[in-house]
Amino acid sequence: MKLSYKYKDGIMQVSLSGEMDHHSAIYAREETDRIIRNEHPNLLIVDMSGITFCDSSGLGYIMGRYKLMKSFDGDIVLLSPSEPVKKMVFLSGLNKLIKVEASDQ
Amino acid sequence: MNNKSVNKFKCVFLAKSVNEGFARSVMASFASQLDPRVGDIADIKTAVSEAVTNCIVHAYKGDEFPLCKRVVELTGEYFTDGTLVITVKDRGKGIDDIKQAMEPLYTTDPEGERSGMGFTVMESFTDKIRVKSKIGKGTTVKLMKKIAIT
Repeated sequence: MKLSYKYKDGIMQVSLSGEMDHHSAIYAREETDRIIRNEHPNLLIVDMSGITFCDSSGLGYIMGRYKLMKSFDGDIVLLSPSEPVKKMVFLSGLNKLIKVEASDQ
Repeated sequence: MNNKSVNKFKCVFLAKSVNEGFARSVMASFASQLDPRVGDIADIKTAVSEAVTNCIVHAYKGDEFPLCKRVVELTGEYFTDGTLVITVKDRGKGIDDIKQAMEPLYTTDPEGERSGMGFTVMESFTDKIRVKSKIGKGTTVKLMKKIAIT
């Protein structure tokens, strides 16, 4: 699991790549939350285009960040989810709660 | 009635989260003998990941299990009709109410950010699921998926 981020004008984009399971989700969660608490973005964009594997732990990660952003009155967007991520998101109905965008503008 | 076992493997590993990736890779590698489609392999990997994660997150919660006893047993077997049978077994605390545990979004660990979708994913990514559990003895999850005709 690799994580990188960029921040500009209240918008933070976190890009994740690799395999998202319970093991790697713990790392992704800690890193993302640390960055959110440092930068206090209004909008969190999670780029999951580089995720090659995703199980329900990925859902836990997305739901958790959704709750955290909402607690700051912020918002979250899921950007270009790869096929494994999409499958999970649509199976759970999370797409009804969280905005899913196809690509970077 | 002519459905015979073609090949089988069993492996035992410690219930550590780092082994989730190991378990699904092993199963994917075994299942590849059936010449599956890419989508089938992805489904198998996800279902195995869910079952193994359950053992790691829930089965051995508490102090009564020394590290060496926290093991997961993974078995794969396929038959002449192309059915793959995956078994994930632990010797942990067991599930009190299997029906409730299998309900979508039900979780005993919301702080751990478990989505409660594990069994739902296993159900939708395989053809059949059987769960057996005994308190204090452990849980066995059996997943069946028809891959191909060999």
